[in-house]
Amino acid sequence: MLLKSKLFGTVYHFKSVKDVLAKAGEEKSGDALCKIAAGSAQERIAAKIALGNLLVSDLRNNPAIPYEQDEVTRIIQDDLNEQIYNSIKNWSIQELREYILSDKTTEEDLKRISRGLSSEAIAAVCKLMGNLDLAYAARKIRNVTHCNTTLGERGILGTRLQPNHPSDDEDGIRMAIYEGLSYGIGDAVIGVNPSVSSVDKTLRVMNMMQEVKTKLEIPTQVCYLVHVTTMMEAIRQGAPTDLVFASISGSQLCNDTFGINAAILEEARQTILKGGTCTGPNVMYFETGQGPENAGNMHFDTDMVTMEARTYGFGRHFQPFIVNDVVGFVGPEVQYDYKQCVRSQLEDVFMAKLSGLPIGTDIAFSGHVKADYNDNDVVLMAVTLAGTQYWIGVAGGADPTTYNMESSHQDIAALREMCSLRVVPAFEKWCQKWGVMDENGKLTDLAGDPSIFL
Amino acid sequence: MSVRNYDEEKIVKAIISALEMLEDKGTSTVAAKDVTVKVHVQEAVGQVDDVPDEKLPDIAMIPEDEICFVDHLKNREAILELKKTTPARTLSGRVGDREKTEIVFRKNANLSAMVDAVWKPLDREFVKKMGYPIIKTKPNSKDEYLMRPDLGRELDEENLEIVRTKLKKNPDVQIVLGEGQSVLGLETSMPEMLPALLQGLEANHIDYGTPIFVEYTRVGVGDLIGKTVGAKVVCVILGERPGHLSWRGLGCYVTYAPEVGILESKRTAVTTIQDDGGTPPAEAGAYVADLIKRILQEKKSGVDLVL
Amino acid sequence: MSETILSVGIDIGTSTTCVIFSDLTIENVASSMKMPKAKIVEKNIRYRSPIYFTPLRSNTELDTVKIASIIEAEYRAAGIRPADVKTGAVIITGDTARKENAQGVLHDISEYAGDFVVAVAGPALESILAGKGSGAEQYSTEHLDNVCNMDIGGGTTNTATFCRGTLIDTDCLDVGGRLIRFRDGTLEIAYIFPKIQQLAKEQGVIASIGTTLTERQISAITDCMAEAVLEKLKPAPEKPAYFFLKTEKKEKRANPPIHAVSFSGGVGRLLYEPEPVNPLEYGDIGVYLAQSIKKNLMTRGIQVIQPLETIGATVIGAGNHSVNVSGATITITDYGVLPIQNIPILRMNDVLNMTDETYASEFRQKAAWIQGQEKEQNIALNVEAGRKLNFRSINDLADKVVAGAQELLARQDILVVITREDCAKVLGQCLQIRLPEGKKVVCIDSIDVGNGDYIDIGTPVGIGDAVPVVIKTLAFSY
Repeated sequence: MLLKSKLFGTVYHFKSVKDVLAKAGEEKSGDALCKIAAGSAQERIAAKIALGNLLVSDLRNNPAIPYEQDEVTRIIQDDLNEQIYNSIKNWSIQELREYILSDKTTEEDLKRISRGLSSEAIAAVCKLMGNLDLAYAARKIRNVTHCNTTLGERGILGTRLQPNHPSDDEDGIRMAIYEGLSYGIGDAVIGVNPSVSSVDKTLRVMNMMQEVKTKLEIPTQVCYLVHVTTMMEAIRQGAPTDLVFASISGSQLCNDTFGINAAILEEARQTILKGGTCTGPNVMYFETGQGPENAGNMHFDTDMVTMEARTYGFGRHFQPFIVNDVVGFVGPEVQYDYKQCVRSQLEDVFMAKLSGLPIGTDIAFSGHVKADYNDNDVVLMAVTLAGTQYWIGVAGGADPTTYNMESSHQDIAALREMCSLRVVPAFEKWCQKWGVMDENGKLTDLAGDPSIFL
Repeated sequence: MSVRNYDEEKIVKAIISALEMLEDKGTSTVAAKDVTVKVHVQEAVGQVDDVPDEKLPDIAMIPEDEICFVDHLKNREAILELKKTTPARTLSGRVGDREKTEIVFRKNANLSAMVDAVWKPLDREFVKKMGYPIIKTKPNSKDEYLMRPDLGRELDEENLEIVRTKLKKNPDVQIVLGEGQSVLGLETSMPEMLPALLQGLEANHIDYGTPIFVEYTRVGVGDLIGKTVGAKVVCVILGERPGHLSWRGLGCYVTYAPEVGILESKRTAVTTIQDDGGTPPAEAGAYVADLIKRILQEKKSGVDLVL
Repeated sequence: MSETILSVGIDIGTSTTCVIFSDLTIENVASSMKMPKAKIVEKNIRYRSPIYFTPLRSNTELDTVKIASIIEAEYRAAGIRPADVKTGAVIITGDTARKENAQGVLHDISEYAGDFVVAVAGPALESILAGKGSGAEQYSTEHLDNVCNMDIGGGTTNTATFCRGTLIDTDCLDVGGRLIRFRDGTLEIAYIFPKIQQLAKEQGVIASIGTTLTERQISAITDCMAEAVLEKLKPAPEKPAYFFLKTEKKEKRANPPIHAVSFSGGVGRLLYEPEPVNPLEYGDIGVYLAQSIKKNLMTRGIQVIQPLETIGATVIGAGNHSVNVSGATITITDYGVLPIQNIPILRMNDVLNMTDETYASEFRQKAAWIQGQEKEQNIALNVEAGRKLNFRSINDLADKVVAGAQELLARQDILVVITREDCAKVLGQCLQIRLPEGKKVVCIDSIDVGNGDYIDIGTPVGIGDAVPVVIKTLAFSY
C-alpha cells in the first residue's frame, strides 16, 4: 500500500487511506470546512493517482471509522459477500474504474461486484470518475423495488409528490396532492415533510392521504416523513402508512443525533411489515445527502463523498423501497455553488446504484447557495441522463415549508418527454383513466386541472 | 386568463398608445423592450399618462391565492376555494411541458429577492443609527462567512476588547443583533421587533445591559459575548436564511447561562419572524420579552423549558 | 402537543331536552421553533343522553326542579362531575325561551353544569348552533355550495345558511310541531300558539282551545306553515305568511342563493323517515307539518341533503361548536380575573384613521347604547385598526384605546380588548404600560366579534396562553 505519488516532479505524501480519499475528492466547501481537502489543484490530482494505485482490499481494511467504534462500519463490513470480495480484492481502484466503464461489463456483473465492495471502495472509484463517467456508469444499473407498486424499472422516471404545507393543514396538503396528480406526479410516493411532528398529526395526515388514495384508487405509496419513532407509535395507534421514513448518515455518531440506529430501523421495519398498509417487501424510505456529518463535526476526518458512500452501505442493509438523495439544502458551507452540487448529485446517484440502492434525487437549492433555476435545470437534465430513478415534484418549483428551489411538475414532464421516459406502468394506466395522460404517456389538455379530483 | 388584481386592458391600451406616439415621431421600428422603457419615463415625455406608477402591474405582489393560470377548469370555484388553504404555488398551468411565462417571472422574482437578501451589502448608516457598539466576527467577506460557520462564532482580540470594555457587565440579558443571512430581514423586521422587545423587558424590570451589533453573526457568537459580560441570558436576533416565500425573516435564539460550545438543544428559538405569513415582528418582540422573563425565572432554556 | 378538554352541551327545547358531553382536542398547530398557535382539531362526542320531553309546570312556565334533576342524573350516568367540565353551553330554544322563568332556569343550569359553561339564547345563536351541529357548515366546506339548514323543532324553525363554511344568513320563524297540541288521541286542540291561530283564521279555519279540527283543516294550516318556511329558499321572498311568521326583522331583504337544504330538529327528522302509522303519535301537528314540507319540496326541485344530525343538531352545536380558542400569544396580566362572563362587545372600526375627538365621541355614544340603564356593566372593546399594524401603529392604537376608556376605567378595574389580528401580546403590553397601577389588562386576538355580541372568556387551555372564548351572537347582521 503506497501512500504517496509524484506529479510534475513533486512527491506528495498522504497520512492515511482516508487522507488520500479526502484529498482526491473534487472541490467541496464542506471538506475545506473540515480542513481535510487538497491544498492545491495539483495535490488533488496527485491524490487521485495515489488512490488509483490502492487496492480494493486496502479500502476495505482501512475503514473511515474503526470497526469496533462504529456501527455503520460493522454493518458495511459484515454485509459483504466474502466470495465475491475475494475475487476482486486485488484489483486496483484504477482497474475497478475501467471494469465498471467497460462495455463488456453488464448490469449483472456490476450488481455482482457490488456485493463485494465496501463503501470506502465505492467512494474511491467515484473519485476517479469525471461527471460524464459517473452518469455513464450509473445509467447501466437499475435497482428495482416493490412496495405497493414496482419502482425502478428501465425506461421509467418516477416521482415523489411533495405536497408540503407550513402547518400541515390537511386541506392544504390535499390541494397540493391534487395539483401534482394532475401532472402525473406521485408514482413513486406521495410524501409529506412534517411541519408538526406529533403522533396525533401523523394519524390525521395519514388518514387523509389514505382516504385520497383509496377514493381515487391511486396505485402508489403514501407516507408522512415524521421521525421513525413517532411513526412506529402512530402505526401502533392505527396510522395507515405504506412506508416508514428515516434520515440516515455515514457515522454512528451522526445517526445518534438523528435519533436512529440499526436496532431502531429494524424494529421499524418489522413494525410496518406487521402493521403497515403496504404489500412490501420493501417498506423503508431513506433520506440521505452529503454534508450533515461534516457540517456537524461528526466526520472523523473523512470527506463527504466517503461518508455518503458509507450511508448507502448502512442503508442497503434494510432493503429500502426508495432512497432520496437531497443536494443543495444544507448550504454553502458544504456545497458552495451549483458546480459542487451537480458533482455531488452525480456522485451520489453512481454510488447509490453501485451499492444496490433504489436511488432517487432531489435538487433543493437553498437561498444562500450560489445557484439559480437555470442551474437547477442543468442538474435535472444531467442527473436524469445518469438514470436517477425518480425526482421530486413540487408545485411551482418552490416548497412552502423548506423554502428551497425544487423541481416543478412541469420540469418532470419535460424531462420525461425529452428522455423518452415513462411513468410507473400501473400509475400511467391510472393517469390515462383520469384522462391526464394519453396512450403514449404524454400529458393531455386535461393535465394541470386539479379540480377533476374533487 | 384568470383572476388578476390589475387591469390588463388598460396596460395593453397604454402600450398601444405609446407605440402610436413613437410611430408618429418617426421612430417606427421599436423593440418591445424600448416601449416598456418609454412607458416608465412617460412623465418626462409628457404625453402618455394612462399608466401612472401606482397602476403599474407588479406580478410579484399578486397574492398566491389569486393566481390561476389554468385556462379550463372542471370545477373552478371549488378548486380556487381549496387553493386558499395552501401557500404552495398551485394552479400554475402549463405551456407544452413547461411553465407559463408569468410563473417563470414569479419564481425568479422570489429567487431574486432571496439572493438580494443574502448578498445586499450591509447598510452601515442603518446599523449606526441603532446606536449600539458595532463589532464583527472573524470572516472577512460574505463568502467566507457563508462557508465557514465556525469563524462566525469567533471574535478576534480587537473585537473581544470592545465586548469587554464597552458593554454593561452582568446584565440579566445580553442582546446580540446581526444581519445574519438576511440583510433585508435586519432592515425590515428588526425596527419592528426590537422596540417591542425592549419595551417588554423594561415593563418587566429586566436589565438588558448594552445591546451590541455583530456583523457576520452566527448564533454561537452570542455565547462568547454573553459569557464575557457575565449575562444570565443571551438573546441573539439575526437575519434568517431566506427562502422562496420569505426573505425578510428574523430568527431569535435565547440561551440561559451561555458558554462557548453549549448544546444547540439548550436554546429556545423563535423563527420566521416577519410579516406576510410569519409571526408579526412587533408581536414576536413582546413574546420574546415574556419568554426571557420566564427563562430568568425558571433558570433554563431549550428542551429543558416546557413552553 | 395537544390538550383535550371536556365540553358539555345542554339543549332545553320546546318539546325536548338533551345533554351531550364531548372531548375537544386543542392542538398547537405551529411547527416547532415558532410561536404557538392553538386550534381545535378534533371533536368527539363522549356521551349523549336520551331525549327527554321538556318538563313544564304550565303552558307558560318551565318545571325547574324536574329539569335540574334530569341534568344531574345525566351527569351521573355519564360519570362526569361538573368540576370536570371545562367549557360548553346551555341553550334554551324555540318557544321555551319565551317561558316566564326561562332566564332563571338557564342561569341555574349553567351555574351547575361547570365553571365555564355559558348560558346562551336567542334565535340567531340557535340557528347557528343547529346549522353547525347538523353538519351543514361542514358540508358546505367540503362540497362548496351554499347550504341552508332548517332546524324545525317544536316551537320555531331556525335557518342558517353557510357559504363554504362561512355563515352568511340566519332567520327564525314561528313554525314548529308543537304550536298546536291535541288532547290525547283526538283532534281537539289543547294548545294553540296565537300567531298560528291567526294564520288558521286567514285560511278560513277557526281554531281555538277546545275546537276539534279535521285532518283537512290541519293540512290547510301546515301547508301554509310549510309554504312560509320554504319561502326562505327563494332569493326574493314575497309570501305574506313568511313575513308574518318571522320572529324578528320584518323588513324585506334578499335571501342568499341556496344550492342545497338540510333539515334538522324533531320535525326535520321526520322528513327523512317513513311516515308513522299514527300521525297523532306525538299528539301535535309535527307529522302533518313534515308531510306538508315534503309535498312542497317536491314542487321546488332543490337538492335536499341528509344532515349528520337531525334531532340532536342544536345540542351538538352547543356542546361542540359554541367554543373558540383565542390566539396563543395574548396578554392577561392577572389570571385571577378569569373566567369573564357575559360582557357586551363595543366594536370600534378603522380606529387609526379617526381623530381623537371622533374616536372619543363615537366611543361614548356606543358605550351609552350598550350599557343602557346598567352603568356598572363591563364592556369589552373590539378594536380594528383599519391599517397594517406595526410597532408604532400599535402604540397609537393603545393611546386611543386608553384615552377613550378613561370613563370606563373609572368604574372598572379590568380593560378587555379583543382584536382579530395577531397582536394581542404587544398591544396588551402597550396598554399595560399606559394604565395606572392596579388596572388589569385582558387582551386577546384571533377572535371575530361584532357590535352587540356578548363574550365569555375562560381560563387557559394549555397551548401557550390560549383561552377558550364563547361568542354569543344576538343578532346576525350583514
